[in-house]
Amino acid sequence: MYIQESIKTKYPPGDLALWIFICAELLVFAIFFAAYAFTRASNIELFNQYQATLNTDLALLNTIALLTSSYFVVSAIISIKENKQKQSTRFLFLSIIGGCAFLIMKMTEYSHHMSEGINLTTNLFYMFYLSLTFFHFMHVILGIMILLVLWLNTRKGLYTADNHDGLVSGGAYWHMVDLVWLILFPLIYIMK
Amino acid sequence: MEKSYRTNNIIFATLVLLTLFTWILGQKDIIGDISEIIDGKAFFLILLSIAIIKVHLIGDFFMHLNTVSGFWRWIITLWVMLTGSFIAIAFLL
Repeated sequence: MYIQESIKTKYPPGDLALWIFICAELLVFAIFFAAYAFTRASNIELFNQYQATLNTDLALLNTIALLTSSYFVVSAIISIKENKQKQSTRFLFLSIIGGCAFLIMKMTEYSHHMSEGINLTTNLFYMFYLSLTFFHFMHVILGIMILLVLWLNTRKGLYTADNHDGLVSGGAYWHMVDLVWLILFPLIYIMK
Repeated sequence: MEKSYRTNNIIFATLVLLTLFTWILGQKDIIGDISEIIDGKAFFLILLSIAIIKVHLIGDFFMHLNTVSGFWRWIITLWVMLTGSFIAIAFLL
């Protein structure tokens, strides 16, 4: 098994079309991040002032929730490679819980902002903060829907040690959602 | 396969620790005003480097790009280096 794993392949694991889709998504996020950074460069005081109003504790918990969820997706893939469908199903369920925890915490944050009358037109910082995080939020929702399909398919026994490309592809999308947040978290909440 | 689980656990623990470190750097009430300890540019570069390392780890180990050769092996790392460069130019220049 280790010998097999050590052989390098030309293409990434899973469906290549999905990887091209992931690249397109990452490019869009890169443009958003650059737009945030360059706009901040002309409004440093405003951005620093309103960045201080954000809840970094919740952002930390959000990051941990996504990382944990990704960890369970990887564990689910390792389990399916051992033909342990039940174990893989459990790991996928836990990854969905992690994603839902992220959504709940983010909605708590949004409702707090809304109760304070903050919206896209409040100022330039909040315009970027709300649109960037909500754009990512929508990707988390799509990612959870993909995880739900993977969970159902695994329950039905559609994935085996020899045939689990769908699981690997869906997992790659979820990791993309995770790694985008790993840039978003320090960029919007911490960097001054 | 035990090796795979162990690697997965180590990478996860590393990612969580780096995340906690990032969060601590942003806490005024824990370490005081960071600008009194290190230069603002150094502070930014530390945060950016941690983020780049974390993204690279996700790409390599969670997305299994360490089993790929050629262009696709570096696709996530290239993305984060490109994005990081844009952010760095905007923050430092």
